[in-house]
Amino acid sequence: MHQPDTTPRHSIYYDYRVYPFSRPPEMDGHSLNHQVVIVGAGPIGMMTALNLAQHGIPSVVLEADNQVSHGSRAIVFTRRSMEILQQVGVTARILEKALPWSRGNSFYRGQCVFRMEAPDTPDSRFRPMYNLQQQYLEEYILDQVMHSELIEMRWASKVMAVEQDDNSVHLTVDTPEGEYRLTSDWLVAADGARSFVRSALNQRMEGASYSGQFVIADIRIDLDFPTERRAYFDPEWNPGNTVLMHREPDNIWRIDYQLPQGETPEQALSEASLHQRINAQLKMVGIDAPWELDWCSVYSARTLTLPDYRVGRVVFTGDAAHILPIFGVRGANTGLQDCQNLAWKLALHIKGVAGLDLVDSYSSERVQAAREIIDEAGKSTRFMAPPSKGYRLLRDATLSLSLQKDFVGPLFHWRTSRAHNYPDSSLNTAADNAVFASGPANGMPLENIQLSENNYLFDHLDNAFNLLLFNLTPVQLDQMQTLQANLRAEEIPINLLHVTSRPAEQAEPSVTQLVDISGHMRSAYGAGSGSVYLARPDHHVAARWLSLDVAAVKQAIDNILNKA
Amino acid sequence: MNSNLRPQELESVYDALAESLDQAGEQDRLYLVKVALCLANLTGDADAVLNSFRECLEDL
Ligand SMILES: Cc1cc2nc3c(=O)[nH]c(=O)nc-3n(C[C@H](O)[C@H](O)[C@H](O)COP(=O)(O)OP(=O)(O)OC[C@H]3O[C@@H](n4cnc5c(N)ncnc54)[C@H](O)[C@@H]3O)c2cc1C
Repeated sequence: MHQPDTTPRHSIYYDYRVYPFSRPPEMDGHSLNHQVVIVGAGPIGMMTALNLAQHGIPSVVLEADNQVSHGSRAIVFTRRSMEILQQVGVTARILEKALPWSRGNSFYRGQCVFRMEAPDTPDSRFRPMYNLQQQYLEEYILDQVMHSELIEMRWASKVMAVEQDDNSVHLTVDTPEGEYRLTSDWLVAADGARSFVRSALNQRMEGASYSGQFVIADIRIDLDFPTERRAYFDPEWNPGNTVLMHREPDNIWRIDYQLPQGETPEQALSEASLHQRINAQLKMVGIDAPWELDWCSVYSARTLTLPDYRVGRVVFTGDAAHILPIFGVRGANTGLQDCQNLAWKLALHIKGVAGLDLVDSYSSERVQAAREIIDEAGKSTRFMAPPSKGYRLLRDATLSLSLQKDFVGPLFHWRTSRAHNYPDSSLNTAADNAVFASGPANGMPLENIQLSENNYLFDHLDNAFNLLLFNLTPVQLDQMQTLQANLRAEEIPINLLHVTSRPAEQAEPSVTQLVDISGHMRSAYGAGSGSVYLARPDHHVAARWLSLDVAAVKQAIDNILNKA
Repeated sequence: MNSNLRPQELESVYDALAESLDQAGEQDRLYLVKVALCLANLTGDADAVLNSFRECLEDL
């Protein structure tokens, strides 16, 4: 019998709650056929469930544990992640707690040799980066999950076996009251880096593992430094290695350093070793203040991905699909983009609106993204933790040059997680894409625009095909509403946003009117009167036209749904 | 880019590099890599630099 520990985890700043197991109907002889079962209530599993629920698709979430993340793990969330989280309504609470930031510093021999600022814009509601412990993020997402009638959370429920045939997936689940069987049309494997589902289906990841090992320690300490990334190269107390320091809410600081070669994780996490090294780092930055340890762990950098995220009726997402080094805050941020890409596609397929090709486009788009990330992350990893003699020499030469030569600065760039583009996606329609002078091109996510005080474009997007319509005539607007009604009758979710410089007094009820008197949005999007952007439910542009052609819009949507 | 030094210039580069390497002592490898990076940047011609890297691997 599977019985996770029912004592709340210890933390000096976070109050863990233990969620109870409740006996599912299957254990009392009811056989239910679920549409979607999600394994894993990490951030990515829960976000998949919320996203599916927005499309009216119910899901059961099976979680082996009974509490949120052990330790803070992911602490940095990007603007793109915030946009994805906004879609399911959890950003308000994040903004109350998280620490926004945009600057990073690289130090060598006491000198700041490279300072970088991530570009910010008044057009976004969100700053480039936010620091927040993963427990809080999971708690906020979970609160939203609990409010959904379409999501059934099953705690202390560990998947022990997975089998599938052409029509369904069959699971064996172990619980504090024994095992039961469960059947579902689809299974989403969001069960993390050590995914059980991945091994049960014999799926092998491709890529590289780096030999360096790193300690992560979260400590509570009063420090005056601003919320900026601080990387210390080759510090005297840890020669040749790199140390990172980052502020988290609740006066917690993350200290992250590489272990000397040959040291075991047990040795590195011993109290004496931790104290000595953390004190050495604090001393180096001129701090003599008391501190208290909250959580620590050892990890190694790996750049691995499954080559295909769909295996029959099982779809992999988040860490179950890929394992990325945390330099560049990629783990959770990548997973959020995965599950947002997956959910609408799976939902529309389940509703019978789209073919299986749409689900497969999740795999092709996100495997491609993972490969790009692996390439970028590999570069950062090779700089932070050189894997060979040659790389070490080059890194050391760069450090030495950095004291006098600015040209090496870009080599310190930490290549943060970014929004991925799908320029070659089969879901795109070329139309006028190439002739727009500005604005997000096919495959890119929409760009946020500040419309007025505390009012941004992304506030008005739905988990639907979002059509941005620029200054349409009343006749054109009528035609689009007819199209909308026809598509909605086929259960295709569609949201019309009319970007207008001549706001109507009586706005059409089925059209969101975005007032753009100054023409700021029009010019950012390179749009003229009658221009149209078609964005997918995950905000990525699939087609754009300089002037409206209703039949072409319909065809582009049909192409996405593979009904052309 | 004119890639050829006059014989006299080449000779002084030769001597200067030899003496700098001696001066760098144990750090001669690090020194050479710094030099390579600086010169690569000065040429502004990545293809030529990569080509030199390949050529120099021969006959070691
Ligand atoms: C030590 C460490 C430090 C990290 N630091 C960072 C960082 O600084 N920045 C960053 O971006 N990322 C970081 N990460 C990665 C980040 O935490 C993950 O990318 C993120 O949690 C992925 O979310 P997920 O939902 O895919 O997986 P997880 O959060 O791992 O969730 C998977 C869930 O599945 C459950 N599960 C597993 N097996 C079963 C089963 N058989 N049955 C039922 N449930 C199961 C698990 O209990 C877990 O709750 C770190 C990871 C680790 C381990």
